[in-house]
Amino acid sequence: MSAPPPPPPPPKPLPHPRAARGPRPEFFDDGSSDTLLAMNVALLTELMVTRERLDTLERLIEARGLVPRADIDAYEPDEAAEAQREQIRETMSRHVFYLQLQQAERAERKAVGEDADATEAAAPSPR
Amino acid sequence: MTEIPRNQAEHPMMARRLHDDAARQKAVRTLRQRLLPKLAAGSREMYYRSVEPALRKASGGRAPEDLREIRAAMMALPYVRFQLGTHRVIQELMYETLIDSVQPQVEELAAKARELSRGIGSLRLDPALKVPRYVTAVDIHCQPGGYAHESFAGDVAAGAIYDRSINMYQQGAGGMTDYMGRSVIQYLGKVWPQFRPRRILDLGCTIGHSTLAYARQYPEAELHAIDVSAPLLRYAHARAESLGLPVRYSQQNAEHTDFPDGHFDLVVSHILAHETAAHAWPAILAESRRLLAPGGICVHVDLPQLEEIDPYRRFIYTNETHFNNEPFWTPYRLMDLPALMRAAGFAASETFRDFTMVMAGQDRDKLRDAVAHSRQLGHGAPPGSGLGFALLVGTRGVVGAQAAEAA
Repeated sequence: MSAPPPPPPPPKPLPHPRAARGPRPEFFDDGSSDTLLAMNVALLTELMVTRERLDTLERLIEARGLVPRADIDAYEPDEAAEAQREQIRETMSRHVFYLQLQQAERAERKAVGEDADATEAAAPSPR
Repeated sequence: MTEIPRNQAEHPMMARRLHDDAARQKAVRTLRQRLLPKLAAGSREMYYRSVEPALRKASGGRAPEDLREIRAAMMALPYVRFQLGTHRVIQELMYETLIDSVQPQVEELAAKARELSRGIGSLRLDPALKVPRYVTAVDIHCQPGGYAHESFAGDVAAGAIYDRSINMYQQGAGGMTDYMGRSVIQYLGKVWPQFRPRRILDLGCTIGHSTLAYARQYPEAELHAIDVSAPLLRYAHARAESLGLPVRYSQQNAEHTDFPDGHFDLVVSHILAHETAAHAWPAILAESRRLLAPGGICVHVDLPQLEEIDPYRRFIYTNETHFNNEPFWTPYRLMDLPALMRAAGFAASETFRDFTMVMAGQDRDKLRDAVAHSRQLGHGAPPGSGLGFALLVGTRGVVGAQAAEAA
């Protein structure tokens, strides 16, 4: 006689709601400004979280006697390190300003007489 | 003098949080408690330096009183829109970060709530209770799912989210986030120093954070607390059990409880009033009156009525209804409380209005003498604003000589 099949695992509970019931007011005439504001404040909190994690690391490293925090404050990068850091800063600024940079690139393409980007022409108008 | 700590005390029922959860919650708390007041101060400056003088000039020197007029002029300013938009976003992020941290542990928290029950107090749930529509129609102050949401049987997530939100939202709530209960206790001690309630009821207790202030102050009293939400009560019960404080929690609607007439010496509620409805609040006042024993006292804590504050603060207050899912906030603040108290059965000599607050950074002795503002209901608005909590007080009979003094 074979053993009965094991009972199925209990279903995972549904997730707690993330969006509050009730109308969401808009504070700007253009609703996308509300979205951009929300994203910016959210990014600020994430930056704070990262900064706090870094602070924790520095304190733990100092407490373990590895690197005093004063050494971090007094740190002067050599030429090679500085060049790498310039790269990091430039990459980050390119990523954050990607949209304007793309718009600049398209404007340049038009200026030299190239055809409009096929994908751009095919894209639905946002309005 | 006891310093009220800024950080919330951890207790066994609380949702666990790792490094980044804590950092995220404190980031939102910093924005809410340190940044928003600075942004709000800018709007206030703009009102008093340009908006108010312009409105005054346009109406031949008359000080602006019309809230709609003030609102229209303020909302025309990009700075104000940005400030209020940021305010709303921070409210949403508060719950976003909390739910993010609570979601992975919802089943663990439900199990912990069951384990922590040790029979110090009790929990009586009523599966047949219908949660009133004013609690479920919109998610009050934007907490997703509201007070009563359950994703599964035994869920306590709404309580776990609410518990940590108090310290993020309210500066000076104290380590046990019991500032509202402490404010009432301080008031009672000043006006009725001989008052020793034998049986106490807290209406709309949520997670019992105010309730426990009474457990500590009146350890000999029998302490009851009710709410309509099962997940909040499960959490409240486990929280009190883990702290070793005896509370009898039951799931009931404060409009009509199953307690006998005259059962309590003290009936309290804390910011319950503005989260009810036009039909419910008068019923709750009448129920408070029914439940009071002779010589008993009820104290309902909320914020001041619109007539008790200056026109600019009326604009700030009513933003709660416009922008923070508080549909009854403004209608409540327009209610004629003295008339409601009379309709609930309280005589004019049995009703009082007072203003008080116990917060971090203020010790009891240095508190503005709140009792100086004490006056019987309907005697005109007290001076100034920033009054802290407004207490709506009713007694069964004239209680002690102190009552006459305070009035």
